[in-house]
Amino acid sequence: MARSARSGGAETNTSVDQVFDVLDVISEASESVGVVDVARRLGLSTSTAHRVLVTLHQTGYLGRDVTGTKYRLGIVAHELADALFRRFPVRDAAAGHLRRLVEITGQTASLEVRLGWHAVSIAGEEGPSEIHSDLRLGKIVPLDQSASGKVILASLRGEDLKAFRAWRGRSGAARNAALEAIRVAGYVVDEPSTDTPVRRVAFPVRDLAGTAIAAVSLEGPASDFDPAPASARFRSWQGIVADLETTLQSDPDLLRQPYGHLPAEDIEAMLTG
Amino acid sequence: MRTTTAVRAAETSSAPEAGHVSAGNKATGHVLRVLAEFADGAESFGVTELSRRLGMTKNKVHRALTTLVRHGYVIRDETGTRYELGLRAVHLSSARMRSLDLPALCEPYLERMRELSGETVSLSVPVGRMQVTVHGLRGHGAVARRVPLGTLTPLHAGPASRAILAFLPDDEIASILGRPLVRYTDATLTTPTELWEEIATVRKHGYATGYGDHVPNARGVSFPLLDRTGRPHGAITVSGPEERFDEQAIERVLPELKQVSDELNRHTRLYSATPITERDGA
Repeated sequence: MARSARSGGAETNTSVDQVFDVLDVISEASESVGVVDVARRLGLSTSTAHRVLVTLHQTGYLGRDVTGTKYRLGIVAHELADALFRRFPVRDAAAGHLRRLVEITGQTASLEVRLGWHAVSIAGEEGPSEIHSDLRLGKIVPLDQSASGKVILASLRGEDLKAFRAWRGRSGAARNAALEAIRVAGYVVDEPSTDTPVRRVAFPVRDLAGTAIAAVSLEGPASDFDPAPASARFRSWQGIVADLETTLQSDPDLLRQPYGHLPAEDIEAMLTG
Repeated sequence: MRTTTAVRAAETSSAPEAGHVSAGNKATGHVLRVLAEFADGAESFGVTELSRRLGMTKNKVHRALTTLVRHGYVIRDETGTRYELGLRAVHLSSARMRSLDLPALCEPYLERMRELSGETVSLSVPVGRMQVTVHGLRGHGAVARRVPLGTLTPLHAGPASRAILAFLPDDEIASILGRPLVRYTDATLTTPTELWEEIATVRKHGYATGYGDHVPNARGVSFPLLDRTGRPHGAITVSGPEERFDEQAIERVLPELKQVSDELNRHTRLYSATPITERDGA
């Protein structure tokens, strides 16, 4: 079901709602989507769905696949997402560091920022590993459900942590002792599970107060990627992230969080509403 | 703005029921046009500014913004008087975190340039102090330039080389020009002075012309493909024999070729180019 179902009431903008619903359907899909599928998923007539798709295509929000019959996100959508990620100064500041990590490890590196109670991937580079990575730009994961999220969570002040738990509504998530261990160690390693065959290591990117404004994550197939935290090479990865932290901490503008002034509920509404 | 023409066309050409464009369709068009402006570099926009940029009344802009705020695509800034891109835009990126597959991305654009010109089109990428042709489509004519796959060419000779060279940082250019520069034909520029002048020209036009400074008989034009920092990923070159692809022939298709290149650059600009490292090439 599409994220937005905002119709109802005396709606003068039903076609606008339809446009955003269609955009949601296309962006949620992992492959191009055809008219009939879009119509079915939204309960629209095919002619309406077609009209909306054509409008979005003509305005550059959608592109068509090689067959010309299915739609995917287009250049304007990609540019808007890029403009959003660009608003976080840490993204451009970290570009060279991510590249360096990919070069020396051969694995995929990514940068996540905290938004509300989620970690959102805003930059990254795939390493040469063949594995199908489910990592993607704009991916949104609750803070306790990814390596990056956990190192960010581990750095939060007590009241923020309490608020997170209240939002999450589960006492099992993010135990104090586990988070404290992560905070002290300065990294976390997530082992592969039945859902994800990759091993991940994440490092916090902290401001002067020690709060993580972002996290750098490396991931690779379990068979191929062994962080070995006691090793010299692991320390060199930490050194690269530390270098990024130093750069950011020396310039307060780089630490700026463009949505930091918004209450968590507003952020959550925009991310997942 | 880039999308203005396309969106205006959409507004007027959407299937009219009963012979007129419904109010809903118009409102939709306005909303999409206003949102597209936020893809620009600016941090925030004011209503007056948007109204001017789009040629829309402030009322229409304001109504579009209200809708966009309601849906989370736009938010008011901290002052409350200007508007910024909202977090809902995070869903507009379904891109896998993949490195840029330049040949795959360029393929349809190479096709279009070949259709427009009838000539051979090729894609080159920088490698160290050289460039190499990695993909191409042969022109339609009975006599058409072969696509020189795998050939390494130094960055001072030929339109593809010069298109790439001109958009490197100045210090890298100086380093490249500081070494002996091979002469291929009478037209090859082999001194730093001449080449810096040529670089200024290429930067001004946004493309490099082929005048037989590498392959003697070849004429054409080469467009750089730039990354988000303005660094070249590579260049696309349209090239043919001078008997057929002369100055007039090139001039006839140049505007349309540039348009195709501009479109392709919108995509390549979303990625960062890998910096050239000394160890990569000669």
